[in-house]
Amino acid sequence: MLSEIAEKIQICVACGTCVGGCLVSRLDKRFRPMRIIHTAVVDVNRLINEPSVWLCSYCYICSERCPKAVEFPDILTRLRNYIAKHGNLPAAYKMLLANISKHGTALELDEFALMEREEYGLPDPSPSQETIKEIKSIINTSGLSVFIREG
Amino acid sequence: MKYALFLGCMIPLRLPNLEYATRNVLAEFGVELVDMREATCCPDPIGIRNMDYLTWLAIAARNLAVADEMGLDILTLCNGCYETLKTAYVTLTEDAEMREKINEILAKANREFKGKAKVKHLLEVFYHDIGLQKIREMVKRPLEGLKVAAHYGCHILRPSEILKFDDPENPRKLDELVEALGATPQQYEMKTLCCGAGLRNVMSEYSIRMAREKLVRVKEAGADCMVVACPFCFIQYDMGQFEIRRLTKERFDIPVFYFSELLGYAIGLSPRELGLGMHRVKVDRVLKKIR
Repeated sequence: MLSEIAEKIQICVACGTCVGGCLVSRLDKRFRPMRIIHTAVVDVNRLINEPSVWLCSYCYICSERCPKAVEFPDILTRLRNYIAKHGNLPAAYKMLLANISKHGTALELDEFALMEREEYGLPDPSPSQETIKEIKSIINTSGLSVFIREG
Repeated sequence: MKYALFLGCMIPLRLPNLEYATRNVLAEFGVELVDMREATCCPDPIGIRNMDYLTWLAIAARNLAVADEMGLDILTLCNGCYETLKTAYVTLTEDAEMREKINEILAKANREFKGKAKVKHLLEVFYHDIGLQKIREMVKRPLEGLKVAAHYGCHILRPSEILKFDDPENPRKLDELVEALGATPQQYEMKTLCCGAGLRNVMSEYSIRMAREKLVRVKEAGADCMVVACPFCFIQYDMGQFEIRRLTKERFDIPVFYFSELLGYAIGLSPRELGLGMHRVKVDRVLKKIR
C-alpha cells in the first residue's frame, strides 16, 4: 500500500492548490492535504493516531483542481483503510457499519419517520431479512465484522 | 419513462417528506417508479469506503445487480448514493480484474454485476430525460420574483471525470432548471463550496461552520431561498441554521427547498402534497413573495 501511495505522489509539485481550495484547511490549520500525503510517505505510522486524518469532508475540490492530477481523496481512502486495519476508526463509522449489517441501511427507521411515512401512505422502506443476510455475507468476507463486535 | 427507485437511507428514514414530494411530482410527469425492495444502503461514500474499499464496492455492486435483475435504470435522490453507485458502475465497467474480484464476492450472495442498469440522479432525469421544455409547459404557477440560490452539492459534480453531470467549477444545469420554473437563479460567491455533511458525525462543529460559510454568501447575494439536490445538503442548510444560531448567534432565515418541492409548487401541487410543513426554516413567507 505504501509503495502505491509513494508512487502516486511523486508527481506532486507542492504548489498548495489543494490547500487553497480546501474549506476544512480554512477552518483548521492542522489539516493540509499536501502535508498528510507527504507524512504518509515518510512514515505512515505517524498518522495512525493523528486526528487530522479524519477531517477531510470529501468534497473533491483539491483533486479536481490539482494541476498534476494527484487524487488526494483516493489516496486518503487507501490511507484510512490502512489505519482502520490497525484498529483506529471514528466511532461514527463503526456505528454506520453496525447499522448496515443489522438493518441494511445506515440509519434505523425511527418512530417519527414511521409515523410520517404512514401519514403520507409511503411503502415500508425496510430491506427484507433475505437482503440483510446477503449484506452480512458480504461484510463477513471483508473482515470488517471485527468492528461490529466492538461497536 | 420508468426507473428503479433507489431511496437510500437519509430520505426514507429521516426526510420522508422529500420522498413524498418527489413521488408526487414524478407522477405528474408520468414517470413510473418501481421500488427496489432488495436494495440496501448505497453504501455511504465516506464512512464505509474509508473502512474498507472492497466492501464498499461490493455492497454498491450488489445494489447495481438488483437493478440489473429488474431490467431498469436506477434513479437516485441523493448525491451520496449517486457518487457511490455511479463510481462503482464506472469502476466495474472499466476494470475487468476488479469486476471479477467483486463478482466472486457477490456470488456468495447469488448476485452478479452485469453493468446493464445505468445510474441517474433526479436532476439528470429532470434535465435530460424530461427536459426543460416539458417542465416549462407544465408550470402553472411560475415562481416569478423569487431569487433562488442553487446549491449543487459535491457528489453530483465531483469527481467530474466519473460523474460527468455538469461543469465542476461553474455548474449551470440546476440554475437552468430553476429558470424553467419562472424563478431567477441568484448567483453568489463560491457556489461549489461543500455543505460540510461529510464531517457531521466526526467533527460536528466544523460541519456546522462549513454550512455557515455558504449561508453567509447566499444571504449577502440577496437570495430569497436556496435549492438543493441532496438530503444531506438539505439537512446541513435547513436544520443547520439552528445549529449555527446556537454556535455563533447568527440568524439567516433562508428557507431551503429540495428541487422536487420547488418544481412541485410551480406545477401547481399544494404545500400539503409536497410536505412543505416539515421544514425547520418555514417556507410560507417565501411562497407569499411569488407574484
